[in-house]
Amino acid sequence: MTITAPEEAPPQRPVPATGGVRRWWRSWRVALRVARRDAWRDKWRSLLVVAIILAPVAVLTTIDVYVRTDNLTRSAAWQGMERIGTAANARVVAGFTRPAAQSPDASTYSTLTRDGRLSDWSTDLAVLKVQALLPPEWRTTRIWTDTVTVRSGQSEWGVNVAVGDTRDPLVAGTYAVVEGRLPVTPSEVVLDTELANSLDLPVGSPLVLYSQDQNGNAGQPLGQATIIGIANGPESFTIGAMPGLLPGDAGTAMTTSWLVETPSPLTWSDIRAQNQRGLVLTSRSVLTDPPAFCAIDQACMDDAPLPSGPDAGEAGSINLSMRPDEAAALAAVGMLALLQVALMAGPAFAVSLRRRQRDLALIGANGGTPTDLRRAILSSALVLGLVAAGTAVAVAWLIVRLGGMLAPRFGKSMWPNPVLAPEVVAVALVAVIAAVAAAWVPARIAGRTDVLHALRGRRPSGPLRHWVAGLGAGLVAGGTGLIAIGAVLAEAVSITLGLLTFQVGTILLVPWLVNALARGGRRLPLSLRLATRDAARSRMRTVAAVSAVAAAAIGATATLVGTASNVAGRSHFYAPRAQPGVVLADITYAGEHPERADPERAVAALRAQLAESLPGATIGVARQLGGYAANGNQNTTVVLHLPDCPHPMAEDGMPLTGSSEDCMYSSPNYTLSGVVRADDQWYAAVTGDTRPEMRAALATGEAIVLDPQALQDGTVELATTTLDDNGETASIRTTALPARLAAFNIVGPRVIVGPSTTLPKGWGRDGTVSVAVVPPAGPDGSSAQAAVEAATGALSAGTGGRWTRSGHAYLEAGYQDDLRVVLGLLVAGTLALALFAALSVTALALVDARPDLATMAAVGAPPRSRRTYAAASALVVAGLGCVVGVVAGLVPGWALARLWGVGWQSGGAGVEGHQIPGSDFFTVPWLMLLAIAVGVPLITAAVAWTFTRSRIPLTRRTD
Amino acid sequence: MSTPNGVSAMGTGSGVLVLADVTRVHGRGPTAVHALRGVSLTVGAGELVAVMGPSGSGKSTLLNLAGGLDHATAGMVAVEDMDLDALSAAQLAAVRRRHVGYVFQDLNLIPALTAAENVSLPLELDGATACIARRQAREALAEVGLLELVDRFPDDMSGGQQQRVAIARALVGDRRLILADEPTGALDSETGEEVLRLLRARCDAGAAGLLVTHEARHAGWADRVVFLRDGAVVDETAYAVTPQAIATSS
Ligand SMILES: Nc1ncnc2c1ncn2[C@@H]1O[C@H](COP(=O)(O)OP(=O)(O)O)[C@@H](O)[C@H]1O
Ligand SMILES: [Mg+2]
Repeated sequence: MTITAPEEAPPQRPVPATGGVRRWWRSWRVALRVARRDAWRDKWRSLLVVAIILAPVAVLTTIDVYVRTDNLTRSAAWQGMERIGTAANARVVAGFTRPAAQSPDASTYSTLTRDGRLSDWSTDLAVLKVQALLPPEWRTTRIWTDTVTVRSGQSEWGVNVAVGDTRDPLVAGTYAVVEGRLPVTPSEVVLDTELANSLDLPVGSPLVLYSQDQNGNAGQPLGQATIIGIANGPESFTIGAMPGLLPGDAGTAMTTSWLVETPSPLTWSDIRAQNQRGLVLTSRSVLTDPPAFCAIDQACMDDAPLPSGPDAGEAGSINLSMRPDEAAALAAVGMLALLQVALMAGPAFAVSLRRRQRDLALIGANGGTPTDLRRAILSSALVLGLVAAGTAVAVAWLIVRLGGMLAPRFGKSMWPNPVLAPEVVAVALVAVIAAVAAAWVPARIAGRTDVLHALRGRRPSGPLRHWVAGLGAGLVAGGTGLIAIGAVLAEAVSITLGLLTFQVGTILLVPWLVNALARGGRRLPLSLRLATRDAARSRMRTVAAVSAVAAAAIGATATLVGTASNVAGRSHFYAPRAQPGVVLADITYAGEHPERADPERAVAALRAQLAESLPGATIGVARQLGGYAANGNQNTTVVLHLPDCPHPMAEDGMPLTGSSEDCMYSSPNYTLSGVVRADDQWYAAVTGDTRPEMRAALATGEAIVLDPQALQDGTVELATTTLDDNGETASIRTTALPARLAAFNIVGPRVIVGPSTTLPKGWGRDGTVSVAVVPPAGPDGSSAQAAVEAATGALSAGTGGRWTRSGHAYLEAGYQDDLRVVLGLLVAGTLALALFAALSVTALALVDARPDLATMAAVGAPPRSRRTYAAASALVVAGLGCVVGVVAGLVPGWALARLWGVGWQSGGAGVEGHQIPGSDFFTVPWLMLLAIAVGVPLITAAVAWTFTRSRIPLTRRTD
Repeated sequence: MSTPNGVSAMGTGSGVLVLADVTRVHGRGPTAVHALRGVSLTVGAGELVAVMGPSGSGKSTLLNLAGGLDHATAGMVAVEDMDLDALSAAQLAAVRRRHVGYVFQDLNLIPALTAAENVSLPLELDGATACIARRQAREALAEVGLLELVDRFPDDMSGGQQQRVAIARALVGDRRLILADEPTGALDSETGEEVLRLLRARCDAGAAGLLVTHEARHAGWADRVVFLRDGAVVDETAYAVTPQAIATSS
């Protein structure tokens, strides 16, 4: 007997509209109560469902809470609070001889004109006079700042010093100690994290503080102290010190403030009263609860903002606006994620249905409508979804709260309580949506419960509907179309929308596939045959699990194909800087008198050093031509370039970089570019070209051109553009050199001349020196690199820093990518999802198969049958999911290959390639895909086999 | 054919199934349940023995011991001269595949397998090739008159058909001991008779049968009836009032 009542049974008697609503509400309330008890009774399954849904939703809510909280710490109110600390309750910022007005956060304040407007001028009182204004019943401590210069190695830093008696309890909370402790004597200081990182001085080392001269350089030494710890205050790049460290040090009124503890919290009217006496201050209670009638950072009187005033700060706000196409893509990705969560939770609800089948049948037998039956399942989804949502918010709060304990490490002195903004509720409700979506199909099937079948213990499963498969095929086709359009146009929105359609279509096809597998599996070995047929018989949970695995495999496959194609493109267009194994290092002269630089001596020193550390290494030397040159009193820029190209610095004095195909602009990453003067060894080390005629060319003053386009009629034309101080072109001169072509795809130089080639005057001085070291056979690349680093470092030290290495020594190791980890993680993630989905379904299958296994035992099945059956079930779910996923994933994979696909275009000789939309690189990482399609199911089966007990129920009691 | 005390008359070695002084105790201490107390019984080839008794008297326990699904606490169980107690779990499974066939009250068949697949299950588990297993299954199904159902799934069969398939499976191969635990319990009387007639026919063809039933009418098909109460044999009739017996005696 199937219940065939209409969806909403019409009421027998006319019922008033409100009565209908009330009855509806009442029946939901009953269903929810039952669901709540039921969830509690079956704790472990409930926990599982909540955990599945919770994980992704908790990530979202945590991000939201973090962003909100972090925004709060950027607010004026919070920053005012940071300056008050935890012990004081107010802070006096300034004092005047006349009544003043201020913003609630004291970021804006001034004295008042007679007519009550903010004056644009004001006179600070001397520190002692302000001190005298402080009411005697206030407990106060004074803090002030000064500026000094400190040195570390070659560099100097202008920094603030915050001076105050850090032993005073009122200071508590204005510093967050990361390491060591706060100073207690004038000879101790603390640094904040940023300053400590910049100075690179460990705790315990001495620090000399110098005065700042007019140019901001270090002047007289003012005092010396030991760095006793690292502590962050409200201002970064600040030294915390005790009074007495700096001579004559009292601070000016501008830089002095007082931390105050008042007998009772200061309200806005208290502040207004102190304003009348000339004091300007912030108070914790006003910052947390600012007066309603004025903005926190706008000067404000008793009941209204002041009409005008000196520059009011602008409240910072984060702009979350998005382009519509980005929003669409993001929404589609969000839907995909939601779908995945729902699919993962789906099997659990299928079990719930199975477990409650008898209850449902009894409800049905006692007159429950299909709506009642559906409600029974949906209400338990609602309960679990709400629990997951609530837990997600709690977890987010807790994570942000606990994360706050680490705030000092990131340079913050305080971290507020996590902020729960209204939208966090909306984010958390995603959990409810996912749960209800997961329960939707089980609920529909519950609505069709066949009472007699259910009471007899048959498995709940709707009939296979062919139109569903048809719809699925249609969606797959439509999705493929959208993806294809997106792929051709290399445009993300239709790809993501297509992917969503495609994914849904695949899921709708899965029931049909499961059925087909069961029907086609007649020749399979017994356990697999049983597993495939049982999978089809319990189609609902199988479909959910297979779809979950397939969705994960589609994602992984698409990403793998996209990434592999991207890598293929990159490595295809990869232009090395030198031959493999060669170490390059660039050294530049940083001394004050460039004309006194002696590159030959520097290179000789390097050679001597390397002869010891890398005996047998070949060393080539090249120098950059063109650059800055002193021309009379004016500094002019001289750059070599090809005649048809604009001057690289023509626009607003900023260098153009390699964006033009034919012009000789350098990539910002490489010091040598354009025209280079090089010896044979350098030329050979970089290009690998050892032809004698090339050597001869370099020796006889011919140029070697790496870029075919630069060579015309056996000559290369080079232009010298001189710019004046305003960046205007002052003069252009061109010279032609005899040249020959050597088309090597090398990033960096485009034209190479020999050491003896004389170039016209005004071509600028030879600049950066590049050494190319070919290590002797034997040591591996990285040790040669280390040796070159050491040698150039020693050169820098030996010349007092006049010769410095720019960047690090570079080892040419061919195309490198560190994607293996990412790709491995993708496969592992798919495995984790497959394990989860397949094993939870296998556990259910084992429960359902209990009587069958007992029958098999009676017929003489060996004890291991249960394990074999479990492994086969896991194999069916994971195998079907992975194979479908990998095959289906090739379509979006192709799209991603087009999209991310190395939109790479070679930049021509000497210039790095750059990305262009669309790519023809389509590389399928077969090994990885095989690992997903075959490896993951096998591992899943092996895990199922390992963790299933082989004991099968031998005897059974049928009476 | 048999004496009132048939057990002692038939010595060990002459029966397909021999139980000698078998005791089975579930649990221990004060909660221990004595499911069987010192039961001795022999079933010879061509013989169908009915076991009767109230619910909880140990009938199913007796059958489980006979099929090696359960171990006796004391006493000896032998099937075709093999002492079951001496066999490992795997060997017991092999005994069930090759020597013993079970028929339960219901849920005999695996719903995911067709009739033919259900029947060939013991052969397949024993490593027979699919082809041979299927041929033998067809023969077995033909013998029980269900050849037209070979590719049907159990859910699409009537209860009587399912039980007949189960009997076919119990006999497939060279198995000579059928253990049937209330095989007619879930059937209407007419279908039940049909199933018993089939069982009787198989025994007449040389198999040994042990049939649990609580309907006297069904016990009439047996050569002997053993009555159990509280785990002990309380009575044993040499011959039952079978329709044939009525026919011959009158
Ligand atoms: N696994 C078991 N654990 C404990 N007691 C059992 C077990 N199996 C059977 N029994 C008990 O043994 C007795 C005989 O059971 P059973 O052989 O099933 O009786 P019958 O089939 O005649 O109804 C009953 O009292 C029953 O409760
Ligand atoms: Mg029984």
